[in-house]
Amino acid sequence: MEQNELLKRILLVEDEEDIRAVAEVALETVGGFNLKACASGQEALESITDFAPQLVILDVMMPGMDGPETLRAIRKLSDFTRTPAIFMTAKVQSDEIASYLAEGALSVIPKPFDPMTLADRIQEIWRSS
Amino acid sequence: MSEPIVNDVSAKLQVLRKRFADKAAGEFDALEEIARCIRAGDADCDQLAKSYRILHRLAGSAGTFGFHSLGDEARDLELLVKSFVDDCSDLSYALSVLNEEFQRRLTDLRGFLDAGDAAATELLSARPEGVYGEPLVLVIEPDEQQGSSLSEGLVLYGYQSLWLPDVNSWLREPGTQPSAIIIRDEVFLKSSDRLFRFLRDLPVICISDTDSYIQRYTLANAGAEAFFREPLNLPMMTDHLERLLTDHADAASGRVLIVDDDPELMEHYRLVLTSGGMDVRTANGDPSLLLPILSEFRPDIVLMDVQMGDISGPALARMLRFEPEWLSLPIVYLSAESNREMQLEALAKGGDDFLTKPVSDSFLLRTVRRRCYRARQLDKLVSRDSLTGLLKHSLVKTEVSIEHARCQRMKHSSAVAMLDLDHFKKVNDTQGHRAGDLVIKGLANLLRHRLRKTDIIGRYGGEEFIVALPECSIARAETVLAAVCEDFSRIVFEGSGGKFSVTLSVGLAALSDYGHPEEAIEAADQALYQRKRAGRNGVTTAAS
Repeated sequence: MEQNELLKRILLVEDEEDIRAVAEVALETVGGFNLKACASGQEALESITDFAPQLVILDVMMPGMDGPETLRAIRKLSDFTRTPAIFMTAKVQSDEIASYLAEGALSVIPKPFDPMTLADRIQEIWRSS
Repeated sequence: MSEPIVNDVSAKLQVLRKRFADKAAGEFDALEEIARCIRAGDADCDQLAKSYRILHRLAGSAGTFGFHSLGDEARDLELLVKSFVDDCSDLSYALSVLNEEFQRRLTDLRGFLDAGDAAATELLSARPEGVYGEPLVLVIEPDEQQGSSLSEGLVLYGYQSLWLPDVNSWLREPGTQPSAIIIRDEVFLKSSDRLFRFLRDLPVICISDTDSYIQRYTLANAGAEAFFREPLNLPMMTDHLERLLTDHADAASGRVLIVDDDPELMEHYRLVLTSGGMDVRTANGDPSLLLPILSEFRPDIVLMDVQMGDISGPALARMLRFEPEWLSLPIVYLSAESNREMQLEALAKGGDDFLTKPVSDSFLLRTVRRRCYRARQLDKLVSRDSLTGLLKHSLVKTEVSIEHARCQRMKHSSAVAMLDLDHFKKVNDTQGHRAGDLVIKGLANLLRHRLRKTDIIGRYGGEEFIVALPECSIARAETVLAAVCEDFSRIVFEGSGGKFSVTLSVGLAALSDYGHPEEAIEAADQALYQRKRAGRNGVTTAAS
């Protein structure tokens, strides 16, 4: 299946402030997306309904609710049961990737990412989803 | 992507990079404290877990901010600590293993942060890769100001450029694949061995503030391919650079068709030539298969066995020459025949050269390379404009027509543009023809670098160029060409009347919107005329 819908709104859940800032440059300035960056899973759950993202990007390792837990909670909201999601992680052993994909993620983006090519990578994943 | 956005992004990333470095410095203090406890033997499991979290974060984020070595090293140390965090039951054992090791690696890490390891990564990543085929030129110059100003100058000519103070700092930049190096002469003489160990066959241009034949000889002997004395004449230097780059690309590649009936031998030749960077196809000598392979593969040269079972190589060669298309295709015979008379007889039937078997691998590769190179040069003489290396008028029109037909068939949009240098006659009159030629070449090179490999670029007339951008919207074409105009206007040339710059006018039309390619070219020409009347220097799009 290929996505025909144009990707505009992305919700990012990432606890690290500097990564949120660089993701804003990478996705808004370079990529031209409309980005909402949340510092925690809790914050993401509070703002997801208003923002209505087409795609959710989650850091895996976060204090409190981690990425997979956040995604499970998002999936329980009736409007977002099928919203595509991508995990970002600094650990990329293949068995771990498999487990994230089993959580229903489209793909896993390894950290560190290159801010200049992140948007292209996400478009690529979006189009082939 | 237009220049202002890139600069904006670079500036923002620069700020974030600084902020990351400041914050990381604070985290190092926390790690140092843990290291102290580890050495004293009184660190607890919580502290180890904390160090793991900090290292994990550094490993995941440092690279994003350009601190690649820091990220890699943090990852190594993270993995070391992780095993003890996962199983913290034997704390004293963990501490004994970590002990000095942890401290030592931490000191290394801090060194990477302080060194700001990839001072120039912003420049490198300032353009998304793969969008344009811009060659990367390394500038190795101990003086930062001179180095970065040269590097910035090269960017205007459509190169990616990276300034580095010495050879070592390049070795710390994994993943950068330069196409050429511009290097300070004394740095080159000191480190040419090390340089060539990593960068075989890379064109090296030396710059120097002195000039003597002895020095030139020494540099040439060490492997330099060009020499420029300061103050540098950038247009001249980039022109030379461009020639070196094309020569290297041509010399390292080539398309070879091997025709032989011995599969093992053919496979061996194929391996030798492929490992030397050639593109190789094989055929067994069946006359009915040969022409289709030729038409499809279009080799630069053919290597042919003289006798393949019942099939005679020279007869096969003569058969190929029935087709006017293959009259100039070089055919080299491979044969055990060392009788000169017999060789000449075979050559008379339509071959070009003889390689006598057994032939050593390196001799084969060198001969084939040289032949391919010559064949390509000849082909260029026929189809390319001699000054710019762009397609000649008639050929580029054919290419535009082909693209127009593709548009109709595939239903995609493509753009065609006419480009004309502003007040070029005045340049020739006041600055001399030599300077005028450099301006023409400068624009040709900029177009080659800024446009995609698949774009069609031709020299239409004296100072007039034509480009076709397949599968490209008018809006996108306008952005790309406006950026070309902008960059070109910023290049400083030098002529007999001193320093000067030249601007460029562009008329753009949607190739796919017109029923005939000529109409599209005419529309672009009209738009160019309007742009000239509206004040030149920029892009005007034809109303469709």
